[in-house]
Amino acid sequence: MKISDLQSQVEQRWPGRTKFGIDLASSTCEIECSQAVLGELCGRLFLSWNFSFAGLIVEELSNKWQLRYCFYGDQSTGLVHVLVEAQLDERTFPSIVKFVHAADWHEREAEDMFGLVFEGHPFLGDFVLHDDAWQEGVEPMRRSFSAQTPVTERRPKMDWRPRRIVHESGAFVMPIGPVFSGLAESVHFQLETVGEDVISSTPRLFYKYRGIEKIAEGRSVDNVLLLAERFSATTAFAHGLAFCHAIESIGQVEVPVRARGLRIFVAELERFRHHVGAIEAICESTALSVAASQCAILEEELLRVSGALTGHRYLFGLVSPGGLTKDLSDTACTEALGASQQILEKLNELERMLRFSSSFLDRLEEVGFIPERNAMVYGLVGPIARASGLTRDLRKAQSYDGYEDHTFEVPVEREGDGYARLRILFRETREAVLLMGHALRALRTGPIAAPVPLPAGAALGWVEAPRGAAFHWVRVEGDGTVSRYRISPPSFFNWHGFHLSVENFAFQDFPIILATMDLSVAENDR
Amino acid sequence: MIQWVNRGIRTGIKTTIYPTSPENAAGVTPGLPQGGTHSPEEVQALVEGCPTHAISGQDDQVSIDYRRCVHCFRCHRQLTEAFGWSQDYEWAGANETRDPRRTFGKEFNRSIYILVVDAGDCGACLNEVKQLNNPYYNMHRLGFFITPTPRHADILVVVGPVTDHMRVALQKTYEAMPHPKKVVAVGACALSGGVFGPSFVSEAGVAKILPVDVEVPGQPPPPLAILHGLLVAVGRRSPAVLFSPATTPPIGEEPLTSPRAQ
Amino acid sequence: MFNRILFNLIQVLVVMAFAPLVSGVVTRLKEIIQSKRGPSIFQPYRDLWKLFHKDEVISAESSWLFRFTPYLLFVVPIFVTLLIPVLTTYPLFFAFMGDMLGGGFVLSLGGFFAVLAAVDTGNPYGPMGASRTRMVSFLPEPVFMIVFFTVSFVAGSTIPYIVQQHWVTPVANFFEPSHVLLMLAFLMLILAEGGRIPVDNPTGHFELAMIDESKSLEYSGRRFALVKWGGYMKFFVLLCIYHNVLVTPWGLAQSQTLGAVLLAIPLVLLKILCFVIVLVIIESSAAFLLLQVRDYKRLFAYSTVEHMGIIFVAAGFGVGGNYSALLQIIGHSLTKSFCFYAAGLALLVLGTREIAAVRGLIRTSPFAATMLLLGALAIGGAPPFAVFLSEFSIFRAGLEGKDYVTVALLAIFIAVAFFGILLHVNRMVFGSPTPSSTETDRKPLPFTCVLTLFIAAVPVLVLGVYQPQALHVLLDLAAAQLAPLTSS
Repeated sequence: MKISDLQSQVEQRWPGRTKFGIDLASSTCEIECSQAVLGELCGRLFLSWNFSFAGLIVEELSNKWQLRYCFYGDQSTGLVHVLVEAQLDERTFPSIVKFVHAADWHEREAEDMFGLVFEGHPFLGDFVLHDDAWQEGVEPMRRSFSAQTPVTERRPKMDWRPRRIVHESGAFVMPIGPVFSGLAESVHFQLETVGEDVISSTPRLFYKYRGIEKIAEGRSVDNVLLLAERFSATTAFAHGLAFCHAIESIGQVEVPVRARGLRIFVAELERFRHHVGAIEAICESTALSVAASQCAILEEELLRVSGALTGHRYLFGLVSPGGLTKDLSDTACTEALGASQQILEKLNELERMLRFSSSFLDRLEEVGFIPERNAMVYGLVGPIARASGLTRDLRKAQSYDGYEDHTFEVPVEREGDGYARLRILFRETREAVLLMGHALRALRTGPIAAPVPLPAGAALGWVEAPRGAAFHWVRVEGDGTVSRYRISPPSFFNWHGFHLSVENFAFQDFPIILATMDLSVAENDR
Repeated sequence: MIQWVNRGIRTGIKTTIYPTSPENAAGVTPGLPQGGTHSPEEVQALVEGCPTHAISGQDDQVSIDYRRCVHCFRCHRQLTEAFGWSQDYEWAGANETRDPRRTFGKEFNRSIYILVVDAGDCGACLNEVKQLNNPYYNMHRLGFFITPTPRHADILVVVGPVTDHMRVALQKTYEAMPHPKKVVAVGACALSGGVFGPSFVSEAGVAKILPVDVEVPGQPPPPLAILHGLLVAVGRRSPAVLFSPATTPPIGEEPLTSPRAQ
Repeated sequence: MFNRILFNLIQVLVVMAFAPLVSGVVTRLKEIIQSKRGPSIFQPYRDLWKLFHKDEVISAESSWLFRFTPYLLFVVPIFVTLLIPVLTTYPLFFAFMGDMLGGGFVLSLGGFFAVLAAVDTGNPYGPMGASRTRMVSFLPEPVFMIVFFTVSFVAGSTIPYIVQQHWVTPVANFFEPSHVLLMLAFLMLILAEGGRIPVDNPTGHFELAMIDESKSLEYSGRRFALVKWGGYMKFFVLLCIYHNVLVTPWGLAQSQTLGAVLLAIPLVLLKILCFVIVLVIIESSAAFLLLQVRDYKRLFAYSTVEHMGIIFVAAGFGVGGNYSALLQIIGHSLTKSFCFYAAGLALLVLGTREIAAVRGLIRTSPFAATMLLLGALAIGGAPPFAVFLSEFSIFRAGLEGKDYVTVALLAIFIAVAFFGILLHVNRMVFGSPTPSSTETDRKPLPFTCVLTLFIAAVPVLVLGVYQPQALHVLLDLAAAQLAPLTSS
């Protein structure tokens, strides 16, 4: 629906309770609404009018709280920010969880970080700050809290135990992590079972919480760019790019054409390499050793291609507000494209072979099933959401950096099981290399960076990262330092929906389902 | 069914011959900044421009604290064109220790079990560690294996700045390992906190929590650098730098410089 | 006599010395197939050597069981080595201590203690691996028993040396159908007991997916070395039994000279190397199987294996049995086609092959449900279907041949299989819907499917009540032709 229709609809339903601010140039609309109407309005946007939830951004401004609920639709619909404001001494807000389930974890995080209470939320507490390490009342994102001062006085709950959901007789808990398996990220799982099937799984995250959003405050934009790249380095370029989009938005910067083309080229290279790594993880989890080692060969080759092209295997230090930090010559890009195409051919051959490996398919088909409705309600994003039938991809829905000038497909599957997710990964690699070719052919000579003025302001930047939609909200002060940095990464949504895929499947399926879901703890934990 | 075996054999062996001779393929390493001589203005610009204070300068001499380099490439790209950059990867530094519980005998030369603990890493160091047994590097041929349990482990590889929540888990894992054992800290975050620590929620590296035997700088260090670090831990390779155990002071204070031999 | 003791000791030393080499070669070959140079084939020796120089950390929660078990696990395979033919065709000094059954029990003793020790520590993964190992072992236990019984029945003894002779001379014995089946069965047993793919993943690191490996997660230092070495030796012993008794009973020392015994060593290693190559191919080609029946089409498919067993048993009952075996073959093939059509129809209606996802099919598609139920009854051997008549005639042939024990065992196993299939199909057809079952709409069934099912059902029903004379004559002729092959 168009923004103008939106305004009339909203004002019709809740007369006098909302205030609209529309920016047609950026297709963004800000709706300031009263707390009474918040839940219904967000619910209507999310469930009826086909908007997706981008994230909740809480800001402690000088004299008030501002809660910003961001929603996004397709290209024609644009973005909608629903704002709720309150005086600083007010701490209670209504929860929108029963309308927008995808906001569940955002509200829990806001409670831990700012001490806000969301009325109606079923479970607040022990989220980012673990109850067995921190006492209540530590609100690290408040202005008064200093990021550099260690909190030495701790009064954690010494008798803290994980929440049990299954209370049947004979049910027991299988704890896993945070240190587990040979090369897994640190995360804790609480699997509840009566035998071999997982009845309930509760992941406990934020063991890797590094406080990115807090330590960014007061740092210059250049230094926050470093944080953006390095908090989830397997998709470093994508997150760096999202941050740069936000800064370019604030400075109203027009990125030069050559830089845009190169950005697409490198972003798709990253997507290709990331997906090959994910496919390797799936083959490894099913113990199909030769397939796994073949994928590992391809992943290493792609890392070397990335390193040879940009100087760093994970593409650090390349993107910056206004463009790129260094020019990539056409010959170098052509070489990289040639190498990528060869790697893609080998990957296609692998896919053909995997399709006939019945023992492998057995472990993936009809396992780890997420129905479309659940995926939508949880706000899942990325390849795993597209495997369950959701079609949104930010490169088409809210195009950036010139993606709208290229034709490419966004693969979608309906089954929602492990095999569908694997197929999506394969299909996306093909599209990625195709896009690399398009971008290279469309490359023009020209500057690779534009100057970036930095007035005070705030903006949302986004990118379709390899794991899904990523949103970065940046507020910059007049002296060029960042005063608020909020990241809504794809893994944050997908970890929330993880339990949907493992419940009611066997323990032995757990590692395989985990591999097919392609989740990153570092990206979630920040 | 036989298709996979055929495929594997047709692909052939891809493994590098490092450490017998150096590996020079493109893209195996991001390289590291070199110290050197520059004009005093350039030295000033370099020192001020490095976001993690890895560069320090005296008159016209620049020296690098490799524990802090986060591979932002600003010194290399934005500040001065002539800034030296190496493309090697044998960067590991070793801590001298006389403690017999942290010394490996000859028996450990070719049989080391490694336990990897992720204490808050961004994913790049962990991914590089994962590449250690891909067909290009194949650390198994050198006798290094991964194990999930501390009881079987000889070396504890730590990645990440050590977040508050992982501190206890890391300590318990170390204590659960039998002697002799060594700790290898991999990556700038594990050595100096990188761009994240120290802060209210993460440390400035592993050395604050555990005694570190080998340090592998880089963000992330490429697999060859980590392999070099492991070989240093076993004594099969000499370290780039030998130092006595010390912890890196927080960013803002005078950094420890360990100038590389020119 | 001195020679025999010496040779026995040499045998033990060979097993102790070369057992880790098998693992080293397997790993090396697998890694080469994975395009890696791979570790040295002597890596397991280096690992053991290193482990003897490592300290031990033992959980305060563990008891004497945990501390004692590694020594037992080290000694058990050595004990079994004394009993089996490793290098010689003649029994050695200690061979009187036990026969194959005894050896099997001693190996089980080791496994039993390993499981107890895994539960002893308080580590959550230990008991989980232990219970999984028990489940995996529980399935091959009857197979082990049947293999031993068959072998002793065929060879007339339970002593491995005598059994081994049976397949050396006359050469024709080597090609007995029972022998071929035994080799295949024992191969699966070795994969299961050794914790290899497709039963378990020996190189996986995720504790939740481990079956065998998780039992030794708590051991460190010297005890871990003993557990590992014991594991290598147990695998080597199983391979020796497999090769020297069943698969390649040649190449062992015939004379009682030291030279002959020493010559047998490289020959035994060569045989094992051939096996290792087959093992590496299997492990590199398949993913790790889940030991659960989830797919109803698979359920029907696996019942074919059961029927093959029945047919072979019938063939062993003499001429009358041949007739029944042939009747069973015809009945089974017709019934199985019907079952697969029914399964295909169900897939068309439901869109899923998972048993767990289907409940209450009778309500949503009565026709598909009925066909599925009839298929299950037919293949299980209920009247009035063809398989019932053929199985009945098998029993009759067995009783005529006075093979009472075999007939009893056959009846028990058929009943178990029948109830197994029916249990799953019953839940699918009549069960009340669970939260995880999918909703199915009433789809109209294509006419061709319905027609095919009816056509397939006719011969199954007809043969269940009436045998045309022409068929009877044909089968008699065929049975007579088979008589020289199947009479013992």
